[in-house]
Amino acid sequence: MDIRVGVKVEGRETVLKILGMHCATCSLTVQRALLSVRGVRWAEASLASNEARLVASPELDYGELLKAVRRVGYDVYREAVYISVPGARPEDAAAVERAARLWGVFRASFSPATSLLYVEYNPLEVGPRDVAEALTRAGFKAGEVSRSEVDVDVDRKAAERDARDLASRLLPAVPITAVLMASMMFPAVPPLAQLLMASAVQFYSGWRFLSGAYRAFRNGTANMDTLVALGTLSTFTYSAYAALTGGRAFFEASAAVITFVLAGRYMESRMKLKTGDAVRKLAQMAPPRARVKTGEGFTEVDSAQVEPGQLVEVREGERIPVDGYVEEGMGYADESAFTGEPMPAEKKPGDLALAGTLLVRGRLLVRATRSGAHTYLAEVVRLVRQAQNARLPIQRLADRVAGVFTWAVMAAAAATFAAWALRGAPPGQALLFAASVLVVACPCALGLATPLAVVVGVGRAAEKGLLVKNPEAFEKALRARFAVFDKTGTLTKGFPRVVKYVGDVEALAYAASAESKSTHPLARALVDYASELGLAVQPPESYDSFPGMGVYATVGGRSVGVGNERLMEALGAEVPQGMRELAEGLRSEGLSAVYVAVDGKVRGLAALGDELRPDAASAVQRLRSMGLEPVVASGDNERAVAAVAAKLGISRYFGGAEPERKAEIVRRLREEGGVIFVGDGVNDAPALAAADVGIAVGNGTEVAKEAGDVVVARGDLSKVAEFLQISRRVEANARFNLLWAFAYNIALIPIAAGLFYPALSLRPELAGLAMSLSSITVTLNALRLKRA
Amino acid sequence: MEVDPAKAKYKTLYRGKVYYFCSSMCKEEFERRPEYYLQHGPQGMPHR
Repeated sequence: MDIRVGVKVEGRETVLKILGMHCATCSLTVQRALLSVRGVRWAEASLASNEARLVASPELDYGELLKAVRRVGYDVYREAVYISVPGARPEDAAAVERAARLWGVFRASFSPATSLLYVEYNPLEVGPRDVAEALTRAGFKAGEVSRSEVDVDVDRKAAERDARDLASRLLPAVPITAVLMASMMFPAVPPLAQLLMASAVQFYSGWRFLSGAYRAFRNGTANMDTLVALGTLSTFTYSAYAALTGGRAFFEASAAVITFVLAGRYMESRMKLKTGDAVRKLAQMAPPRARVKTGEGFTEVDSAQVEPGQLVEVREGERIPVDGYVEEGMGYADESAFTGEPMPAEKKPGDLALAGTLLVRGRLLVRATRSGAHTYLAEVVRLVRQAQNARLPIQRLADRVAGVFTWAVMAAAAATFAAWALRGAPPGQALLFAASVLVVACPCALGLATPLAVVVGVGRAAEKGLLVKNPEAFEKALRARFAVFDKTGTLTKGFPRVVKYVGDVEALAYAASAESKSTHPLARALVDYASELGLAVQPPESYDSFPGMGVYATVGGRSVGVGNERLMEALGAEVPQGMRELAEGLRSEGLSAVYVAVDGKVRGLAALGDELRPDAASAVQRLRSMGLEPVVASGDNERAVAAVAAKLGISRYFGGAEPERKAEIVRRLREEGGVIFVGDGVNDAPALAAADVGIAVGNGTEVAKEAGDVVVARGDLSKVAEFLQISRRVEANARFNLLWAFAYNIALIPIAAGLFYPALSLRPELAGLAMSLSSITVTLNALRLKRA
Repeated sequence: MEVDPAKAKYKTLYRGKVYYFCSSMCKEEFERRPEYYLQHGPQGMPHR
């Protein structure tokens, strides 16, 4: 609607629901961000309603609003929907996206690999129906709309329907073409009968090319269908004229081209289905029904209906239907789908159980925390599908070429016809050469080259426990020079443990008892260590803690002090020279050393430290062998960081770096080369965002909330190298596809034009066959990634 | 002045004994001259 605000501002108004605003300055920041967008004339963000209203010129790029708000750290409430657009060609991607970009649509991205259009929109402005209508207006078919992202069947259903349609058109075309080709040699069928048969193929079997070409024409573009339609229509029309006037007709050419191209499309659509297998497999892992405890017994309900807090029974051999915590029972769950780890994980009371994982042994009662579309599984599926809809940056070149390609081919065909006609070739022959040029050209291999590789690659990565949120990471990872690691929790386990104890066991038991009241991580480590050794830990009679020194307690009537030199001094306990030196040595290794004094006498020394993860050394080594320089950046003190770096043979490290400084370090390193940052998805968010590729080593299950381009499910460092490996394969695959697509077209178009005639030439039917094989090659090549 | 050891916020260790205080000022004063106060016993609020 057009409105006037006050008297000055004219334009179109829109309202955004802003997320994360909780103070007055927030609303000012949001307001300023919105005003910075080109086309916005007036904006106001209200804290009370969490809304921003703005007036903008109708030319406003709506997506920029979302970007502006997100750039300042807030978010806009939006809904997302997948719309299948059956019959849209890869070259139509830009046209589909343009048609869908209505007022209120933040993002529209079409994947030629799945024929799915992903739309993020502002529900206050538009709905999926509006987008579908806009698509229809532009001449596209808007198919199934799926709101629940877990429903991955949309693309399968659409592809299957497409395949059925193709088959029904292909079926009559095959025998007719066979007869027409046979009659080329044995003129048994009268020309008029041939005309009838060829018409059936041209207008029934070939209908999708004609309608596709018409649609493209209406949108002012040209695509693959345009070329096939032009090529077949021209030969068909000429043949019809020849048949009626008694000249030499060649109906077999147009019929055969249609048959071959249809057959190619049929195979392509069958194979494309396979590219999305990984996600489909994931999504299907959630069992539809769950047994919920009600009073005495169990009732079977829809898994999505399980409420948080309800108890769900899972028996051996079943998949867990909800996310939750094990309340009762013991068992082993196969979580390989999320982690890539083939060993089943032990599940005991208190452990996290994830929907979709398979209980290979035991029986569990799980207290549900999330169900249906909110489970970890659903989140993973959602992320993977979103990522699959993206294109790689190298595709841009192909897209640009594909945009003008069809026009160039039409020009080439016209030139071919003119050249042959000028050299005195009969018009029929000149036309055949021109038709070959039209039909042999394959812009779709160009359009499909990287989208297919991305779909398969993202799916394959997910199977290995790597969630790729931003597929551009595949390409950027390969250009990186540095791999910057966070220390605590990434290279190390993230919590201290006692790595060494010198002294008598009785003193250790006293120390653990004294510390049993403390919540300090070092205290917990000491208690755990004593418990592991089977020592009895008793509650102290009195307990005092002295920050920066240690604790002092009375245990079993004896005074116990656990702490550093300052505490020992205050206790009047003298530290033997040998022990002092030992402590110094341990500290230089980055460990914390505490003394244990019982009744004023130092009797023990414990060294505590955050141990390296068992896979840290090999992971760092592998990255180094892949040509990356490892770097450590940590908020921990310089000495501890240095010790870890030394153990891993890393020469570049930064200690005492707060999250903001880590981001600064990343930015500085980027001046020297590409940076991959590997860290905690929550605390290291600024550094993850600053890096070329942010890899979050997540331990949580809130993947969507974690920053980073890639999330490694359930912390496993070796996955970082695996990601690089997959990146290489995806990149190589996409490059091969692109190269193939270019080379194919460059080589075959001149042949089709008759440049090497009569030594080498292509009849239109063979040209059609070659073209179909070319798209199939690209698809088959992408499918190889399934085993990457 | 009486201080409840279980609730005291200010405390210090000296020669293996814990001393509790009502305020940080008392604590700092004690830590400055522990021997003096151990001999002379608790005194009023230090003024500084």
